[in-house]
Amino acid sequence: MIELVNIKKSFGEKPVLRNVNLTVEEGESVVIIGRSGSGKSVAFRHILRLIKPDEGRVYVEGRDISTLSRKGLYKVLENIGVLFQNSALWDSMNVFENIALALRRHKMCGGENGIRKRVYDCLDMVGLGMTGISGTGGVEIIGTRMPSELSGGMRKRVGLARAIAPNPAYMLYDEPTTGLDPIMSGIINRLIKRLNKELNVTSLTITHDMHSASTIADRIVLLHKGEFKDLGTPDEANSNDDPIVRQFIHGEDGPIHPVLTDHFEKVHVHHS
Amino acid sequence: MIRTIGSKTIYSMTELGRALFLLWRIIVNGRFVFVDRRLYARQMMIIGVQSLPLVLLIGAFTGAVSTWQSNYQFGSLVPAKYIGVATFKAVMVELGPVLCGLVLAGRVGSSLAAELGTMKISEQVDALVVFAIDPVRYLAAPRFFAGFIMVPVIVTISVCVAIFGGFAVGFLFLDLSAQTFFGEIPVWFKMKDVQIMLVKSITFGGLVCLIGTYVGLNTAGGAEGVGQATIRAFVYAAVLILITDYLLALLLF
Ligand SMILES: Nc1ncnc2c1ncn2[C@@H]1O[C@H](COP(=O)(O)OP(=O)(O)O)[C@@H](O)[C@H]1O
Ligand SMILES: [Mg+2]
Repeated sequence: MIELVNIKKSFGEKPVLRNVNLTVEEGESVVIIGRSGSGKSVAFRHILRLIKPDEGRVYVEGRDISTLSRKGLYKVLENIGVLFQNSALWDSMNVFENIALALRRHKMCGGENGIRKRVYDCLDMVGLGMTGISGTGGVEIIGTRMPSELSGGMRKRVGLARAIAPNPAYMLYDEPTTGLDPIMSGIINRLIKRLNKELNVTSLTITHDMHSASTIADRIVLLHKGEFKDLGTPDEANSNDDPIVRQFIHGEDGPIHPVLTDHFEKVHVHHS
Repeated sequence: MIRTIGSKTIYSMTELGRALFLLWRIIVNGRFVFVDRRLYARQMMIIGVQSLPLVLLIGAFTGAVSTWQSNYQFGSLVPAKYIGVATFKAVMVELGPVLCGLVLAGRVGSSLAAELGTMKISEQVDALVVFAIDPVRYLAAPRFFAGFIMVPVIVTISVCVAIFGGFAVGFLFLDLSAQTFFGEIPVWFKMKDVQIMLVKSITFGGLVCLIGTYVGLNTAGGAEGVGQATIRAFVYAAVLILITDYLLALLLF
């Protein structure tokens, strides 16, 4: 179980999270939607203690992570797989090494042969193993590529393979399908769903892709004005008649200004 | 004004504290040197390959210039056989370690800051943490200790080259035979000089690598931030090398 309780976070004068509360139950799949720059990735970083909140607490499996020692934190993190928004692959290593690193350093898969198999299996799972579809010529070849030689979508999928390789109990996906074509998005959505339903991986996903959200979510939350708003199941979210929610989910005209960021902040034009 | 100075002082003190804390954590993580030996070996290779050509060049010219200078300064005052000794001593206790230290601050320190800074801003360092791989153990410790070990080796090589650079000048331009140039060196050779050279080069190597690593891992602000980090790593390391050289002179002589 992951819990964010009354999280507040500002960067300088700029409040990003005003009062964030979220509980993700064991085995649940929660999707976070919200405008670019609304603080979704910042919320993720709190769960990993990459950022400390100004106020509030983060609990993972009932333990307040701010009280953990470095070692204790690493123990918790070993159970969490993360797909970064920008993939964050290690540039100096090829694709194979990227996926194998954590397996090797934590002595998983019972040795080098097991690791090799696991790496190739994971590459297969994210659709990088099938000649033709990915155009890569199979897992062995993709394994020797350097991150800088890959397209954004491929990097994302390598990042995903890397995240799932150690079999984490929790997965955080930051925009898993951004930059992928619809066929690939479908593969990734089904993978996320399958990990959640078959392997009982508790997942928390940030996405802008409403189709993806309805496929994988048990529950959707909207990050707006620094707070999470629970929208319920995808069906409930779809039929929500709050104009702000409708503007998000259906892209209708609505109260949120398209150019200025949604927020309580003054004038801050958004670039990304 | 006073407030600015005050807050600057507090800021530098916190930076210093944080750098020392990093040093402490690096040293603690040094216990994994055997398990992580591949990482260490790789960093030692990189530092060697990066800096050897430059350092050989520096060595040769430092030696050459020292010989030329000694001859110019007191060639008429002392017998020619002392020129070799003068070169040897100047290069070994002062010029070798300091010049190499400064050059390595530029070559090794800056590239550490750039490498780690790039990793930091592109979240590669965060990615290590998230996979429960401690960046201090995985990135910082091998780089620091590699510098710690390799810089003395590099300085020693450079000093040897310098002696021969000096001899080349003496032989070609000052009509000194090998006997004249090298003859007095064993007589005046003191183990203490070697110790001073090693103490200095270990200190400078440690400084360069600690600063490069610290600045790199604390980079913020995108590509521009990485640019600034490389410059800062060089400037801090260069200044600290000169200051510690002075302090070591007080302590060791
Ligand atoms: N380390 C940081 N320092 C300062 N501002 C930050 C930092 N990280 C994020 N922000 C700001 O917080 C806001 C939310 O960012 P983010 O969580 O990345 O948005 P998104 O919802 O698109 O993932 C942005 O305006 C961003 O500029
Ligand atoms: Mg984001």
